[in-house]
Amino acid sequence: MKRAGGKGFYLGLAGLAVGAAVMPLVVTNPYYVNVLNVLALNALVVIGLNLLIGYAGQISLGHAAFYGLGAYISGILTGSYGWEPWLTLVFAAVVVALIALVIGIPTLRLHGNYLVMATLGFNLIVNILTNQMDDLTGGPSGYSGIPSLSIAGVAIDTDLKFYVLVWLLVLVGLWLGRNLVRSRVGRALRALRDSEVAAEAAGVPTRVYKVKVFVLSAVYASVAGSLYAHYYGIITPKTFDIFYSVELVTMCIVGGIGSLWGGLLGAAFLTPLPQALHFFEEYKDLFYGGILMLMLIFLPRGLVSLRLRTPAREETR
Amino acid sequence: MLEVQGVDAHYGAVQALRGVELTVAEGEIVCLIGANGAGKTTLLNVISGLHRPSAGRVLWQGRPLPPGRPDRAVARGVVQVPEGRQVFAPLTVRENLQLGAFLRWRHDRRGVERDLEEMLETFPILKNRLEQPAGTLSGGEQQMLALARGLMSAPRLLLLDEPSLGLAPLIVKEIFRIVAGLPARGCTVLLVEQNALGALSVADRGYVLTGGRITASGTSAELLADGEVQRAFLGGKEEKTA
Repeated sequence: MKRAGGKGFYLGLAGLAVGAAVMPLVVTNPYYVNVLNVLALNALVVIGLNLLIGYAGQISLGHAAFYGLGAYISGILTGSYGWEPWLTLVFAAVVVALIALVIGIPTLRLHGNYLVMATLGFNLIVNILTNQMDDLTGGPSGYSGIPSLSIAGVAIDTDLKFYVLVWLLVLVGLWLGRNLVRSRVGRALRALRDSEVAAEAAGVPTRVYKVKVFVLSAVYASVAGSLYAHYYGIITPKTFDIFYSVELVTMCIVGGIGSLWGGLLGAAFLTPLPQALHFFEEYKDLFYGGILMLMLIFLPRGLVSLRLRTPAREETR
Repeated sequence: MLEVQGVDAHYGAVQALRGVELTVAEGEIVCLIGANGAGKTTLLNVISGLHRPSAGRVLWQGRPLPPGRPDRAVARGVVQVPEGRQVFAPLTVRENLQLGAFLRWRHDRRGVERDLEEMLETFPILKNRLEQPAGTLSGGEQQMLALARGLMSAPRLLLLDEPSLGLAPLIVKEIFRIVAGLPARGCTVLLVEQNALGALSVADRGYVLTGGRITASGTSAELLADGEVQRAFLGGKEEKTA
C-alpha cells in the first residue's frame, strides 16, 4: 500500500486496479465475490466518512441512514415508479445532500461535537420511518423488486458484473477524495483539524467547509446505498440501523483516521470478519467493540500506520 | 483607519471588554499593553471577527467589519496572528505559508508564489525548513512562521497577539525588528504585548487596557514617561532610561 500522496498515490491506485482486476480470476466462488462487493460498498461509505472524521474532526453516527436513504429512494422510485436507475441514483444523492445540509448547518455552527448527537437521532428516525411506513417501504420485511442497473444495455445482474462496476467506483471515489485532500480546500481542512482558531484567522470559512465535507460524505454513502439496492434487489431497515453506523466509524478508526487508504483497509479488514467469525454471529458487535478498543490503545492511527508515517503528513507529498 | 467604537464583549456572563474606543491610523504601529486577563486578546479577536462583540462596532477604512466573520476581515486585509504560535503542526512550512494566502490562492496564484519567495528572504530561517512539518520547528521558528503566514494574507492591518511570548531575547529582538519594518510595506500594525518595553520601543502610540477598559493612551514616549505605566508594566524606576 502506497502513500496517498503524489506518485505514491497513483502507484497505489494502479496496484489496487490490477489487484481488483486479477481477483475474480482467483476468486471464482460467487459467495466470495459477493463478500468483495459488500467490501467495496463499505469502502465507498468509509472513504467519504473518513474525510469527515479525518479532516473536519467530526463524527457522524448517521451514515447508515444516508446509506439507507440512498437505497430506499433508489429502490422505491425505480421499483414502484419505474424511474431510470442512474438518474434516480443522482436524484437520491441530491436529496441526501440536502438533508445533510439541513442537519449540518445548525449543528456544525457550534463548537464541539454536536453533529454526533444530531446524526444519531437522525439515524433512529430514518430507521423508525422505514420500519413503520410499510405502504411505501415494505416495513420490517423489506422492499423488494428493485431492478438491476444497466450500462449501455448490459444489465448488471451478476455478482461479477457488479464487482467490476463497484470496484471501478471505488477507484473513482479514492481518486476524487485524493484530489480534494490535495487541493487548497484539503489543505484548509487539514489546518482546520489542527487548529480551528488559526484556520479562521487565516481566512478559512471553517463552518462552511465542515458542512461541505459532511454533505460530501453523505453523498458517498447515498451513492453506495443506491448501488446496494440495485445489487441485492431487496432492502430491509435492519441493514441501515445504528449498528451499521457504528461499524462504519469503526472501519475508519481501524483503517486509519484521515487516510484514504485507511478507509479502504478498514473496510477490507472488518467486512469479512463476520464471515470469518460466523459461528460467533451473535457476538459480532462485541468483537467490533473489542477491536475498536484494542486499536485505540495500541494502534491509534490505524492499520495504515503499520507501514506509513502519520496519515496527515503523507497526504501532503 | 481602524476605529473601534464602544465595544463590549462577554464570555457567557463574564464581561471582558467595557466600552472600548481605539483608533489606529494607516501606517502606524500601535501597541496595546495590559496585564494578563485585561482583555487584550479579546479585543483583537473582536476586531478580526473571531469573537462577536455584545455591543459596539469595528470600522476599517470607514466601513464596518461584519462581526463574527474572520474570513470577511481577512478578505479586507485585516489579519490576526493568533497568540501562542498557532502554526498547523502536521502541515509543512510551505503549506502553512500557502494557507496564509488561502483567500488569494485562486485568483492570484502568481502573487502568492512571489510573496512566498519574499517571505523566505524576510525569514531566512524558514528557507531550509520548507518541506518540514511545522510542528518540528523550534518555538522561535514557529513564531516566525506564524508571522510569515499572517503576512502571506497580504494584510493592510496586522493584529499581532503576543509575538514575543516565551521566546529567547535574540528572537524577540528579531521579531520586533521585522514588525518595525511593516509600515514601510504598507501594513499597519496593532500589537498586543505584555513585554511593554519592547512593544513601546517599536510603536508610535499605545493604549493601556485594565480590566476591560482603556485606562491610558498616548504616544510611546508619553506612556514610557508615565509613572503609572512604569509602575505597572515597566518594573518601576530602574527602567526609566529605557
